[in-house]
Amino acid sequence: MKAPSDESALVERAKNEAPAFGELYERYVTRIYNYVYYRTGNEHDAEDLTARVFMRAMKQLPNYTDRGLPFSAWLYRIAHNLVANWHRDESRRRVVPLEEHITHGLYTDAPEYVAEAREEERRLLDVIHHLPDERQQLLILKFVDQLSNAEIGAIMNRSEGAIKSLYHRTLLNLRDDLEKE
Amino acid sequence: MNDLKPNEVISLADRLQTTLKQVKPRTEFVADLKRKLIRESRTGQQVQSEWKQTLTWIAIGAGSLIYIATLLFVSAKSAWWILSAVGALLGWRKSQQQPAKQTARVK
Repeated sequence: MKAPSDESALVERAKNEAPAFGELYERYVTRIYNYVYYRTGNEHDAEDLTARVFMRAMKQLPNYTDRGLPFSAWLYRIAHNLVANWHRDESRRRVVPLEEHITHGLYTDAPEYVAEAREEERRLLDVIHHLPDERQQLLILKFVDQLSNAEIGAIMNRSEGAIKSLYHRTLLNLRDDLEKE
Repeated sequence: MNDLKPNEVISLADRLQTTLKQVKPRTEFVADLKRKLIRESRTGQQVQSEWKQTLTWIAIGAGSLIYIATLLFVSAKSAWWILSAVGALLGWRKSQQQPAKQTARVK
């Protein structure tokens, strides 16, 4: 993670210069893509929503004011809102088999192992998918983006302690849900 | 609900770590989107500068109109004051001349 002052300067430049916005995009595209990918469960929608996140960010950037939070927090908020809208629209249309999409294509090993591991992951992803939004977000930021509790707190606008306790409650939740299955 | 044991925390974290792996977006997707964003950004900036120019011209036009209107108003007001003053002066002189004429007629 780059120094905040460097990031603030880049964000300010990005308000007027296309290449600076391109730099911001390269810095965050994988993280936003992963967040959207794990929330939607498929590559196609992840690409579509990631594009929309950056398009919206670019249009709203002139109104962005630095409140001391990381720029990624603002991007995640846009992504979170778009994903929430997507889920709302999607629930009207069809149910997405999230775990099938995500586990598909992750393995190239022996078939028996693949089947067993895939089943394990399918169960876990299914349980994760039923967690409340903020808990899903926490797990994605922690395990996919490998962020610390302090960084997650800055993004989710909570204290480090609150994130620690939310993580603990999420694990409890996961354990109990996995046992129920 | 029982609290988590340390080994459960580790095992769950391991399972999450194995399941929630970072996925790489397609290279073509990343490159295409970047091109699209830069193109859109340039168009946006162009539209913005055109808007700025239009707004500047509107401001200059409105400013000129207000200036001319103020000038006309001030001139009209001044003319009105001058005419009123002249009218008052003439009226006063006439009223001064009238008593003199009456005195002459009496004599």
